[in-house]
Amino acid sequence: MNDSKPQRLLEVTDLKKYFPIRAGLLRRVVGQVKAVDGVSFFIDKGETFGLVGESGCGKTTTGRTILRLLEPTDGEIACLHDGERIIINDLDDERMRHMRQHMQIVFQDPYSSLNPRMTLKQIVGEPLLVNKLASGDELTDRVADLLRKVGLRPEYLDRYPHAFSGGQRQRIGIARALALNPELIVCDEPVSALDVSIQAQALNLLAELQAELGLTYLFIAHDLSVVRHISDRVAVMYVGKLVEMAPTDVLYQMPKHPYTEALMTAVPIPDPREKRFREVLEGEVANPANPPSGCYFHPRCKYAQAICSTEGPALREVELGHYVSCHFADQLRLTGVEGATV
Amino acid sequence: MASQEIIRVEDLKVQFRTQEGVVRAVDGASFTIREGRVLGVVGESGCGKSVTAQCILRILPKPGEIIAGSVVFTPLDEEEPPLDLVKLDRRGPKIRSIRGAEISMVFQEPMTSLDPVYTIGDHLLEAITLHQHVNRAEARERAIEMLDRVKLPEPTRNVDSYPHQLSGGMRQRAMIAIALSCHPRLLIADEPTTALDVTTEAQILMLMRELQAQYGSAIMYITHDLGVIAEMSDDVIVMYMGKVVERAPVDAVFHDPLHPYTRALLRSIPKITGSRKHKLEAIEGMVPDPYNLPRGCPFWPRCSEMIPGLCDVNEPVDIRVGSERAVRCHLHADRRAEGSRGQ
Repeated sequence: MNDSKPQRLLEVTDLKKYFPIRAGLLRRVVGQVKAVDGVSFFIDKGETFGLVGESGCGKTTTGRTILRLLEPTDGEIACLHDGERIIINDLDDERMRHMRQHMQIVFQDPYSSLNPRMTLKQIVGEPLLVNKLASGDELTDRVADLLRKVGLRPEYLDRYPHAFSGGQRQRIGIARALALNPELIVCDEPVSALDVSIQAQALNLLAELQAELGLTYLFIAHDLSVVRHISDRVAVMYVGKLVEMAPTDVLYQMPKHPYTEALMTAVPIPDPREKRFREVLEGEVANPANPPSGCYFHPRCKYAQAICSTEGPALREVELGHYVSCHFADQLRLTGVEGATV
Repeated sequence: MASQEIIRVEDLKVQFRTQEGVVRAVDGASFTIREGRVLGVVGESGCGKSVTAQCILRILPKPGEIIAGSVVFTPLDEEEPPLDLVKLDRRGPKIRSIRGAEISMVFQEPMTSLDPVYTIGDHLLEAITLHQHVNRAEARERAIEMLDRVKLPEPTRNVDSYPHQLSGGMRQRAMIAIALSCHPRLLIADEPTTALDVTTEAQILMLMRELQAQYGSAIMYITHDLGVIAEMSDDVIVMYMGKVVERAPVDAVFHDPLHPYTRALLRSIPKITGSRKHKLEAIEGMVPDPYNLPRGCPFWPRCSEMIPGLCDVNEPVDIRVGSERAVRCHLHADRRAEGSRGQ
């Protein structure tokens, strides 16, 4: 998939999204929830970049801010389009609408993300109609093509979403995202609402479409096995910050951040013969409205030392392509998924 | 296999009559739950795993009705005869003395299964005072002790917390404390960690194993997650469209699965270890419409080993394999003779 020199399709630098906390009669701002707090990463053209973390860590907000479905508080989002580096956050509404043709999203819940009063033709055809790219018979043909592409029968054109199962609805959502031939698709938990036997079909479909159309995915999920399967590189988020980012196998086998280690060893393995070493974390995820001092993970980290509670570590490249934000990334010897079995 | 049987479910059938038609949510389920063992129940949504659990506690919501079969409960007191829970009045005193005391349940969504206008302590006190002869002060004492057992932080303070003041993981700990407050012989856990994050899930799984070792309760653990099944269970039943398609000790389910559905399910999940495959072996097709089940075996339209003229015509029966396994599949019809042989 990678050519000799991969192109950076998306570059996110120091992205921040704060939500104000308002209180009192005058609704004055009394604090900030730092949902995304200084996140930087890039995605190469044609690759799948996995973003994992537990609920509330800011992974969905990151995805939505990149598409400017939420306005970023600060930071830069740059996207390569037609050889030109476009700074997304500077675009006015008109140019942003144009840019969105190249950046699409597939939502988590296939039940609430499709309008129940619209037929498949209307749902999948809407992006084409809004951007004045097709109408009439051409629109019908294009929608039928898209349905075929995601494995649905074109005869379903005039049906409503309620007639479809969860897996089929997610295919409809994917067809809608593909309608404008996007370069980047943000997949926000695209399979987590699906049954086990349907998940594999959806994951295979995403992989096939990527190979066929040269798509680039930002794949946001909490299921570590799913992310491992589909991603070329993976980043781990904790309380609004990236704690680690590396090529998939490196991250899963040789994590360098204690939180990644805890995640990797917490996953139950579907094999009763594998008795596992387990790093069970104590305590709860920090509150993003009132995070701890220093490294946000230090109250739960068994390797924490004095410096961890006073100074927040920066994300730095410790090995080629392996970024970690931990003061002791070079010294710790941590356990990955393979080493976890004894 | 010496441990005593607590629950024996035999040929249980449940149907839901709705405007669109009749759904046979459970269609001939048979299994046993034994003292001190963990029975894992695995299946996809709509397979009937939760409905089966609701039948044991007799809390099946309308319009569901048990139309056949039995759920035989063996009381601890050997003088008392075994009791068919299906025959009891679901609002009567007998089932109410069992529900919450002998058999209790932890639900999936700790958010909605706790009453938001009562404190954690109120919930616990209700369970304790209902089934144990203690006064309120003693009950409160026990409530705090239970919260301490499930490692809820600051139990003396959190006993007076309302559910919304706790995090998801803490709420689930409180739920487990309520369920275990009367030392039940059987704990039914219906997807107790599905709504939780993976690190919190690891905490709760560890807690349940510890408590099980301490109290020796049997657990019926319902989940769709094969990883959790492997980790928690001693025995496993696999359900598909209301039927128990396979029943076996946990090692056999993962290393020698007999039913094509079990095999396909195991092959289709992405793994966290081992080599990364480019393509997953997906199960083709989709879960059939429950109002309109295929004739014969419900799995045949998706089965790669389907035998035309047999699987799509005749419904397979439960075939015993050895002394502790059973499978509902025509492929194993020749094993029937082995059934009596045992091990």
